[in-house]
This record gives sequence, structure tokens and C-alpha cells, in this order.
Amino acid sequence: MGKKKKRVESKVWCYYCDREFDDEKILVQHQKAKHFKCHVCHKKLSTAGGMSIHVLQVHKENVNKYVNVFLLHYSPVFCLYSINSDCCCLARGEKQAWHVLTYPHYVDFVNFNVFSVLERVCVLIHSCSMSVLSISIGSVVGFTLVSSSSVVPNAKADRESTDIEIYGMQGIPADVLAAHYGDDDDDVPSKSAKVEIPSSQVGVVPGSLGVGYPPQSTLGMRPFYNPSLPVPPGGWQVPPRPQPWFPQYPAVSVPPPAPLGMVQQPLFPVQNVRPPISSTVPPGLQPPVSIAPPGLPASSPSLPVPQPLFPVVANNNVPTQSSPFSASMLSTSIPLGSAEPKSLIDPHTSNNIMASSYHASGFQGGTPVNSHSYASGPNTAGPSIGPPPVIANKAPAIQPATNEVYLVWDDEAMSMEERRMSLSKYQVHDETSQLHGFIFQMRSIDAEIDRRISGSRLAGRMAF
Amino acid sequence: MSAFGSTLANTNPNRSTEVVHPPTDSVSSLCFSPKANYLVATSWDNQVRCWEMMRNGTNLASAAKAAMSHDQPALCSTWKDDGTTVFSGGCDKQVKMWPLGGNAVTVGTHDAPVKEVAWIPEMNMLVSGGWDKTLRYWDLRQQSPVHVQQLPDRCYALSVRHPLMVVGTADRNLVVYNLQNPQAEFKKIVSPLKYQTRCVAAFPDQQGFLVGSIEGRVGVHHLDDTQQSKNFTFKCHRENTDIYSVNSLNFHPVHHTFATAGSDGAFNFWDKDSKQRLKAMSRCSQPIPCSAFNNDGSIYAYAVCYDWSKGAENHNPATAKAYIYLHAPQESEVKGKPRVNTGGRNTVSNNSTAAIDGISERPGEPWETSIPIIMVGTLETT
Repeated sequence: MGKKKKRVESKVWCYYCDREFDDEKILVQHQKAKHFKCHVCHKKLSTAGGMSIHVLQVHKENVNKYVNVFLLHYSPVFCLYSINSDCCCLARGEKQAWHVLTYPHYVDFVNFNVFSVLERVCVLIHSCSMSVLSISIGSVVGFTLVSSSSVVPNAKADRESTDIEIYGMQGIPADVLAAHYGDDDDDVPSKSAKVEIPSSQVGVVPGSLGVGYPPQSTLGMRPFYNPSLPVPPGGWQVPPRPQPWFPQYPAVSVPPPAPLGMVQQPLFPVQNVRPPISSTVPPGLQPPVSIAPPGLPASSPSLPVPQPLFPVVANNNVPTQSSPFSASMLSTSIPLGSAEPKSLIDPHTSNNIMASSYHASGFQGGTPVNSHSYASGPNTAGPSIGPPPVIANKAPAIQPATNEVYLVWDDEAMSMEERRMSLSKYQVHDETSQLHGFIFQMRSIDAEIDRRISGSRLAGRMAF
Repeated sequence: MSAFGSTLANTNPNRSTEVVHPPTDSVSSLCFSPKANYLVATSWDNQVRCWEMMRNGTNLASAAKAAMSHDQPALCSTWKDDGTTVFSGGCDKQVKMWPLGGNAVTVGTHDAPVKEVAWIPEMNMLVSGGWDKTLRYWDLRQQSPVHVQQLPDRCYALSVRHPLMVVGTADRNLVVYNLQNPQAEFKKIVSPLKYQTRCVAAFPDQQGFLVGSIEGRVGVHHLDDTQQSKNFTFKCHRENTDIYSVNSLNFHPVHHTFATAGSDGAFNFWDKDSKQRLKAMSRCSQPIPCSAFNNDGSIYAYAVCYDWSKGAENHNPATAKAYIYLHAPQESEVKGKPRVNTGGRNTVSNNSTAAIDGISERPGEPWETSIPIIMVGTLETT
């Protein structure tokens, strides 16, 4: 077939976030799901302007832009705050138009200024006068309203306006269009943040908290960061998993034990790190502890990784082969201890090489670190509907350019039946006309959504 | 699917037998009698209907037999083990008992719609789970529950294989109960899947369970810690960039393979021991919200109707129709297959279950013995 001279270098791309897509249809889907989605009811609109109108009319609020505010210094006399890199000094009692974030729940009432504007926030501060909480320098104290015009969610800083009418590739201003193609290296996807944890869709809060850190570092305030503060974003994942995981799981998949797995695993496929480990072997029975962890991640990449993709049958034999292998290696390694570290390691690593080579052939870049057998998120690429025993060697070829996929039902907070029940038609005893139900439909859905919002367990959600 | 040919082909591309007199609104659950070929379907039109299936030669035929109604949509149904009585629960928060041929009576109420109901013959009790975050056990003779068990969140799915009971709730919790000690949670875990739990199915040998989510993924989870290595998940019911919810998981009563049905309108048969898909059926034009095998696995019933997976805006009450189809699975579709070996790899199969006949039944199951629970006990009725 030969290379085409002019490839599809003019791929379609999203104005708001600069991501590229193969197909305009997918681009439109992406825009609807990411940028034109109402953050309150998750309804997907067709344009940014439509979304802001929807939010205004249905939910009665403006989609606003907020920026972190950090506490630089506080004293009984005045408080010093920073908005990103600007500094602003407030005298005690001075009122400003701040929206105070109650999310970190740290308020030192003695020193904290009262911020007005949101009455309920003020009430909150006043009402916690009895509680002794402390705010530390560098912690986020609030968000300030920077602009009151509507913004597009998940959009880059200079592309957030809802005034520009964008649909797919249409409506992009000429200068932006030219500038995009002028850039040689587009960092194709912000694959970095793209594990589609639904809770992260919640709104500005988690993203902006993440955004907050870099500017903070420019102030050189890093050491002052309240160590408990980073917990919420990391702990963002904690609420969905409050229960202790059983020991077999955490080796690979759960963040808290991740340090163990994460530390050990990079060592794992690298041969020359083995000797250092072997040098720690001599000291008696300690080594079983230190060998076992490398052994565990040794077996764990080989165990979970090959298993997940169901239709792939061929590869399933490999892990079963390597796992009893490594299991037996493990059992021999422990009693042997200091005896023959080298010889232990060699079959081990050779075993692992086998496993990793099967990885390469088998999986679309499922890295051992990431690919625990449990849903590594929709980023796992490739269509999975295929003829039954298909060897996955072929699968990587068909990979969508974007790793974004669309859940048909994406509401984590309610089930389909609960949403359906919100229809008035099902609540009223007489199932009269559909027209009746249609008229009341919007109202009941709104009521349902309000119920959800008020009962939301997502602590960081800013309720306006 | 294909072009705008006959709509009949679109909703029934697998050419399954259509059940006569289907419900007028979406079907919420399907359940076969354990004793005979009677099918019960609950629907969003408040009705609980019963059909009899007849087989003449290779053909299946259905005949409507009886119906009863709730005040609001009915969400779940189950049969008593003797095949005489049907239990159902619905959005009217009631759990009803319906002796076929007679009238239905309410045996219990929840504080919120009842999502799941199951009959436990070994305990002679009915258990129901609702959106009021409780499981209630009912002795049919009294109106108040024998026991109310608190759940971490709203009940979304329930599966019972005595003594194993698995409950899937909102917030991706999965609670496992040993029915010999139902007042204590045997195990509470977070779903191995990252998205909302949609359905669960307990293994026939009670070693573990399957869990399906809205993200087109099914997790196979074993309860015993020593068998954790056999856990895995697999993706299914996806098409290009669309990921559909897995709505129903059903084990074949004989071969212990299982079927999944999803919002994409397709149903597939899988073998978890050899980790293969045995058969992929054609996609129907509407989602499949629920499905069931009959008592000997010769009939697989599935409903084709809108399950709300795309919200209210995709529901057109004027044109929406519900269908129930009966599929007679071929042996090749539901019988377990041995693991496929490609040449050159020696299969050191330490956990192979030579799936020639499906699962090899292992008696004396570890999960029962290794965990300190009350092994043999009579249920303390409070």
C-alpha cells in the first residue's frame, strides 16, 4: 500500500482542550461529554452556549470560574492571601467577595477573616466558633470568583468562553486554527489525567485543587503545606473504597499499598537490580520478607495482567504456567535464603522475561504497574467484542486514536430504575396519558436531581 | 443492525420465539419456575404476568396464564421452590405473595421501592432488598420481618445460592452473607469493578460470584482468599466507543456456564473456567434489561425493551414496545469447553478445571471451612 504522502495530518481536534481525534463524530461526542455537559444534571448539550443557557435556566446559576486562594500568612491583625501569584492583603474584618471553600474543613476561627457574599458560608464560619480547627499557611482557604461570565468545563485557560460557538471543528477562529497546526508537537492526549474516574467529573473542585499546587510552588511555600491537605484529592478515591482490602489484592491495585507494589515493581523486570537484592539475602531469615515482596510483584504482574481480557484464550496459559513457577520459586527461595541467591534469581528473571514477553505480545501496553485485573478504567484500549478465541496479537492494531470511551449509562449516583422512577408517570397511581407524564417529567427529574445534590456524599462538591 | 428491513428482524435477530401477550411497558425481571416451565415477568406497567411454556417438538410456544398487579411498577420476582407461589416486589414498597390461581397478598413492606427478592428454601424465608438500604427477611406468616439487615447503601442486586448470598449495593459495595448466620456480614468488599454495580450472580458451587457493572465489564470473584488468584474481570457489551451496561448475569443450571445480557441488546454465553466466550448472539435493537434460564437450562428467556440506559429522552412511550423472547440454547452454546491450548506452551494447569463438563464440583468448599463462622446453626428467629 505504501505511505500516503499527505497523511491525515489535519486531524480533527477539540478547541477547548486541544485533544486530537480521528473522526469528527468522536470529536463531537467528546465535546458533548466533556465540555458541553451540565455539571448539575449531567445533561449533554450541543454547544457551550446552549449549556450555559441550560444551566442558567434550569438550575439558576452561572457557570463561573474560580481560582484557588492560598493562605500565605495570618496574624490577628491582617491576613495575607494569594491568588495564584498575586498577593492580596486583607485587614481583619475586611470583607471581600470570596467564596470560601469548606472542603478542607480547616478554619482557625481566631485568625480567620470573615468572608461575606455567600451567607451560608458565613453562617458556617460563625457556627463553627466552638470548634477548634486550624488552618495552616499554604493551605487553600477558598476560591475567588475571578470572572462571572460563563465558562466551559474542562477547557484550557484561554479557551473557556462560552461565547464562541464551537461545534466539532466548526467555529474555531482562524488564528487559533493556524496556531494549532503550526505547533509541531501536540502533546496528543492529556493522557496523564485520563483515568475516567466518574467522581472526578464532579466539577471544578478536584481539578482545581490539582491546579492549585503548581502555583503554590512558585511561591515557594511547599514545605508549609499542611500534609493532611493532599489527602483529600488522594483521598478522593478513598470514599469509594472504605473497606480494607484483602491482602491478596493490594499488591497490585489499591493506592494505599501502592508504595509497596510501586516500589518493588520497577525493580522487577530489571535484571541488574537483582544482585543488590541478593546482597541483602545473606542476613538470615529477614530475606524472606524482602524476597517475598519482589516475589509478590513478580507473580502479580504475571497473574493479573494476562487474565483480564476475556476473549483472549491463548495467553491464559502463560500465566498459569508462570504462576506455579514463581510460586514454587518462592517457596524454594525462602528456605534457601542466603544459600544461592544468584541461581534463584536467574530462573526467576528468566521466568519473568517470559512473562513480560508474553505481556508485550498479549496486551495493548498494559503495564504491570497499572494493569491489575480490575478495571483499569476505560483507558484500556481496543474493542473487546471479537470472535471467541482470538489471539490478542491482532487486537492492538485496532486502537482508537483517543482513549476516551463513552459509557452509555454514566450516572454513578443512581441506577437506571431509580432514574426511571423519577418520572411522574410511574409515581402517580393512575397511569393516564403520556402527555401528562411528559409535562411533569422535567419537574420530577429536577426534583430528583435536587435530592441527589443535597444528599450527595461528595464532600468536596461546592453547593451553590 | 441491518437496514430498515422488517422491524421484526431488528428486535429479534436471533429468531427466538416470541412470548405472546407481552407486557405493555418495559420488563423489569424474568423468572422461571423451578419445577415447571412457567415464566413470570414483572413490568413497569405494574403487572406481574405468568405464562406457560409448551414444547412441541423443537418448537416453543407460550400461553398467558395469569396476572396480578401492584400499585406501582413491579421490579423483581421470584418463585417459591415448590413452584406454586410467586413473590414480587415493586415501587409500591410492597412484597407480595401470589399463590398461582389465587390472589396476591402483601407479606411485607419496605420504606422505599423493593428492588430484589429471593426465596431461600433452606430457611423457608423470603429475603427482599430495597432502596431503603435494608434487607428484610420474611416469614410468610407474619407481617413484620423476621430480621432487618442494614446495608451500606441501596440494594441494586441480589443473588442467593444457599448458604451464599451476595448483595450488590449502590456505591459499589458488595456484601456477602453466610445464610447460616445471616445477621452478620460475612464479607464486605468494594466491587472489583470501578463502576456502579448492576447485577450479581452467585456461583452454583458457592465459591464466589460474578458482578456486572454499567461499564460493560464483569468481574469473577472468589470468596476464599486462597483462590484470589483466580479472580479476573473481562469486558463485554461494548461497541466501538460505546460501553453498555451489563444488565443480567445468569448461570446455566446444568453446565454452570453463564450468560450475560446488556444494554446493547446482545446476550452472550461464557465459560469462566476456560475463560472463553462460548457464543455471541446478535444484537437486538433495544436493550435487554433482564433474562433467565429455566430449571433445566433448555430455555433462555430474555426481554427486549428499553431499560432507561440513555435516559428519559430516549423513551418514546408511543412507540416503545416490550418483547420477551425464548431462546433454546444449543449444547455448543452453553456447554463448557476445555481451555484452548496453542502449541508449544506446556500448560502447567494448577488451577485448571478441565472444563469438559463445566465446573468440576469440589466438595468441602474452602470458603466455608477456613473462615471462622458459625458453621452449623439454626437461625435465631428474633
